[in-house]
Amino acid sequence: MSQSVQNGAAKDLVKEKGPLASALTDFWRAFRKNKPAIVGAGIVLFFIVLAVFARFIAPQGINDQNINIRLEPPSAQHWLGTDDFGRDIFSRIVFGAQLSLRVGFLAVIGSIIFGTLLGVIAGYFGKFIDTVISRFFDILLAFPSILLSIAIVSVLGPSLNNALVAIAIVNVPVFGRLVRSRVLTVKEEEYIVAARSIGMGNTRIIFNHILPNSFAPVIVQGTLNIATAILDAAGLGFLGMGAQPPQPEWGTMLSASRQYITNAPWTVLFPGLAIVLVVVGFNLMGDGLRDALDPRMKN
Amino acid sequence: MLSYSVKRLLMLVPVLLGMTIIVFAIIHAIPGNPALTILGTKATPEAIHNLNQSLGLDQPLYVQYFTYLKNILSGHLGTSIQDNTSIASEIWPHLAATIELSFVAMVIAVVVGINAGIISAWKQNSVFDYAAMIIALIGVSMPIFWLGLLEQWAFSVKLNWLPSIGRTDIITTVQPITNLYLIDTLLEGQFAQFWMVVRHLILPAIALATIPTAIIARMTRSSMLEVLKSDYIRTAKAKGEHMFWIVYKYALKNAFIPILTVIGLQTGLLLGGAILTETIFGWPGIGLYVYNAIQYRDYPVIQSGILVISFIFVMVNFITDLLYGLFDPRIKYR
Amino acid sequence: MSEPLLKVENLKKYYPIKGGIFGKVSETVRAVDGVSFTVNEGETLGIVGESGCGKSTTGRMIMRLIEPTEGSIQFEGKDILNISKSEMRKVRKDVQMIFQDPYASLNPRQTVGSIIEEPMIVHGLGDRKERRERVEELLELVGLSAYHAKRYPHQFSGGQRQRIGIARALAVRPKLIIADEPVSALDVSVQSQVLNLLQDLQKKFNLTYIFIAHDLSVVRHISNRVGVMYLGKIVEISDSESLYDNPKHPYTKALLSAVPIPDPDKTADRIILSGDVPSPAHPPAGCAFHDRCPVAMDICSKEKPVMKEMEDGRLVSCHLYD
Ligand SMILES: Nc1ncnc2c1ncn2[C@@H]1O[C@H](COP(=O)(O)OP(=O)(O)OP(=O)(O)O)[C@@H](O)[C@H]1O
Ligand SMILES: [Mg+2]
Repeated sequence: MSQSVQNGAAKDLVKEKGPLASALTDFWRAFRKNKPAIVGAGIVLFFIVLAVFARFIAPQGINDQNINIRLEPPSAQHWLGTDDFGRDIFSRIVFGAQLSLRVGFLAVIGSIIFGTLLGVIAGYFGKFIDTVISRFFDILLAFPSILLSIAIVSVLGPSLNNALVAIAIVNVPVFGRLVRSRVLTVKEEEYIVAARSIGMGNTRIIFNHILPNSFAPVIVQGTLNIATAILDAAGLGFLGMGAQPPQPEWGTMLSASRQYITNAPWTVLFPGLAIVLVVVGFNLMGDGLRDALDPRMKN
Repeated sequence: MLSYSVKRLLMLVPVLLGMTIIVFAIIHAIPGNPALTILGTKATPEAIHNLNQSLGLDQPLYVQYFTYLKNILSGHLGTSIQDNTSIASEIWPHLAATIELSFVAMVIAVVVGINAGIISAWKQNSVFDYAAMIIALIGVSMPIFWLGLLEQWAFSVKLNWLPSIGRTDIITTVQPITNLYLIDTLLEGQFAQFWMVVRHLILPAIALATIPTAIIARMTRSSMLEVLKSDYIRTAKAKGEHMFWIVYKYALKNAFIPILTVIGLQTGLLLGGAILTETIFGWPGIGLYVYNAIQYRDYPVIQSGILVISFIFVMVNFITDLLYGLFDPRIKYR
Repeated sequence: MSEPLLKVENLKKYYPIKGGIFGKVSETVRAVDGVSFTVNEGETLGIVGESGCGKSTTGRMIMRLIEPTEGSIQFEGKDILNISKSEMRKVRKDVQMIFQDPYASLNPRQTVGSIIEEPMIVHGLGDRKERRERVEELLELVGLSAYHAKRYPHQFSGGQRQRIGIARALAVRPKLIIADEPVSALDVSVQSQVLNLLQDLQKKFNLTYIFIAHDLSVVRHISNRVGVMYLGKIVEISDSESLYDNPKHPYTKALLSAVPIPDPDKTADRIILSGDVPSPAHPPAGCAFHDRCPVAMDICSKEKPVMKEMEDGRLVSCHLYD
C-alpha cells in the first residue's frame, strides 16, 4: 500500500465521530424533514434570541417604573401596554423569557442527569438495586406532579430556584423509567454481549454503547418536558410558590395582574400568550422529533 | 386475572407506604426549626415548645413516623394549626367539591375529546382535522390558570353570563347531604338550586378539562387512524354499512384501551390542576384548602391534603389498570 | 500429547423459571447439562446441534458471559472460573468471540474503525497511532480496505460486516476464537468466502477455533474434530473424518443423513427424525434422545447413557455401545 493512501486513511480516522456525535447527526437528519418540528424549533429559537439579547431588545429595563403611565393599553410606545407600576409589559416579557427558558432547560437537564443515572443503574445492574430504584420511581409518580412540586417548595421555601429544583426532582422518575426500559432493551443487543466478550468494563459499556443507543427517546421526552417544566414553573409562580415579584416571570406577572383584568386585560393577556407560545414551540418540536425518530413512541 | 389483581394490590403497599414517608418528611425537611418556621420569628419560646409538643416533634423520628402512620390508618389526619379544627372532618366537604369538579371536567374531556378525535380521524386532513389538532396543541400548551382568568373576564365580566366565583351564590346555602351539590340539590328537590350549581360549575370545569380534552382528542385520533385502516373496517364498508355507524360502533370499541389509559393518567393532571383552577375560581375544594394552608404554613393541612389527593390518584390508577384487563383479555399479566 | 489449550469438564447451566405470585421456582431449564471436551492448540473443534440444544450457552460460558451453574473450564491449565480479576483480564484478551448476527453484533453508532480499535483500548494495547495503524492492517487482513474505518456498520453488507466482526476479534491477537454460527446468517455464496477467510487466518496466526454451527455440512471442512450436542449434552465427539465417514450415535447418523451428500457413490438412507426436540425444561428420562431414536431399546428410557471411549479414541454416549 502506498504511503499517501495510508496517510489519507489515517486522517479520516482522526475526523471520525464519537458515538454521541453520530447520534446527534441522525437527529438532525430526521429533524430537517419534519415541518412542524421546524416551526416549533423556529419559535423556540425566537425565544432563545429574546432571552439572550434581552438587554438590547427590551426598550426598557425590567423594573423601570413610571406612575404616570399606569395600566396604559398597548400603543406605539408600549407595544403590549403597561402594568400597574407603569412598567413596559413587552420589556418584562422579553426579560421573562430568560427566566422561563432557564427553568425549562435547567430543570430538564437536572432530571435527565439524575433520571439517566438511576435508570441506567436500575436497568443495567437489575436485581435488588433495580427493585429499590423502581419502587422509588413508583412512589414519586404516585403524586400528581404539581402537587409534589408544591410539597417540595413548601419545604424549601418559595423562590424561582426552589421551583426549578422541585420541578427537576418531580421529573426524575419520568426519565428514569424511560432510560431504564431502553437500557433493558439495549442491554440484550448482541453488540453489548460483544462488548462484554472483549473484556470491556461496565462503565465503558454504559457510556460508549448503552447510553448512545438509549438517548433518542430521552431527547424527545426532554424536549416535551421543557414545555411542561415551563408550564409548571409558571403555575408555581402564579400560586406564589415560584418566582417572587418583581421578577418578570410570566406566571408571577399573571398573578400580580389578575386583579386588573377588568380594566387592563392586556396585563393578563400577554404574559399568558408568551407562555402558550413558547410551550407550543417546545411541544411541536418534541412531537416532530418523536414522529421523525420513533413513531412507535406515540403514546 | 385474579392473581394479577392480588399482585397489583400487593404492589400498592410499598407505594402507599412510601407516600406516607414522603408526606411525613415534609415537615421534617423544613430547614431549621419547623416550629419557628410555622409560627414565624415573633413566636415566644413557650409557643414553640407547645407546638413542638402538639406535633410530637420532640420525639425520636421513627416513633413520630409510626405514630403518624397509626393515626392515618385509624383515620386521624391531624389538627389544623390555623384554626385547631380536625382535618379529617374538614376534608370531606372540600374533597367532595373537588371530586364534583373533577368528575364534570372528566366527563367534558371524554365526551368532547373522544368525539373530536373520532371526527378528526374519520375526516383526516380536512379543515376540521387541522383545526381540531391545532386547538388540541394549544390546549396542551395552555396554562390553565390563564385560561381560567380569561374565561372569567369574557363570560363573567364582559358578557355576564356565568358566575365566576364559588360553588353557589353567596345568599344560597345548599343543604349538604353528600356534599356533592349536584346530587344534594336534586335529593332536596331544589331544581333552581341545581341549576345554580350547574352554572357555577361550567367555567372551572371547562378550564380544568382543557388539557385532558386535548390529550384525549389526540390519542383517540391516532388510535382511530390505526383502526380505520384495519381490515374489518374495510369489510364493513364493503357491506355497505353507513360510515357513521361503522366509525362509532366498530372503531370506538377498539380504541377504548388507549383511551382508558389516558383517563387513568389524566386523573393525576386533573387532581393536580384542581389546585390552580380552584384558586382562581374560589372553588372550595381540596386544592384551595391546601393553597390556603400554604399561605398560613399550616403544615398538617398541607400534608394531609397532599396525602389524600395522591391516595385518590393511586387508587384511580389501580382501578383503571384492572379495568384494562377486563376490557382487553389479550393483555398478558406477568 | 501436549496439554490442551482448553479443557471443559462437566459444564452445566440451569435456568430456574419462576412463576406464581411469590416467585417460586416452578421449573428448571437445563440449557447445558454436563458437557466435557478439550480443544488443542491450533485445531478447530466444531460443535453441532439443533437450535436450542445449548451451543451458544456453552460458548458463552467459556467466555464467562454466562456464569456456569457447575463444572470447570481450564484455559492453558488455569481454572478460569476461580482466578483473580487481573488474570481473567488476560484470559479475556486471549479468548475472543465472533457472533452469529453481523447486523446485531456491531454497535450501529460506532464507526468501523472505532469498533475494531475498542478491544485494543480496553486491553491497553499500543498508543493511539499504533492502534489506528493496526485497525487499517486488520481491515486489509479481513479483505476490506483501510478507508472503510470511518464508515458505519449499516453501510456494509452482511458478509462485510462479519469480516468487521472477525477483525474486531483478531484485534488483540487472541489464541482462541469462539465462532458462534458465524456464517449461518449469510448468503450461501458468501458463506464459503468467510469460511475460507477464517481458515486462512487460522493458518497465519496459529489460531484455535471453537466453531459452532447447527448443521454438519458447514463445519465439515473447517473442523479437525466435531462434537454433536443434543438437549444440553454432547452425544458424540470425534475427529471429523471418522465422524463423517462412520457416525456412531443414532442422532449423528440422523443429522448426517439430512446433509446433501456430494459423493454419489454413497447413498445413505435418509433418516427422518420423528417428533420435535423436547423442551430442555422437561428432558425425557433416561437417554434424552430415546423418544426420537429409530433404534431405541428398553434400557434407553430408563438409564442415562455415559460417555464411552471407542477403540479409535472416539467418544460416544449411547447404550448401543455398552
Ligand atoms: N436466560 C435464559 N433463561 C431461560 N432459558 C434460557 C436462557 N437462555 C437460554 N435458554 C434456553 O437454553 C436452551 C439453550 O439455548 P442456546 O441459546 O444455548 O441454544 P443454541 O444451541 O445456541 O440454539 P440456536 O441454534 O438457536 O442458537 C434453549 O432452550 C433456551 O431456550
Ligand atoms: Mg445459538
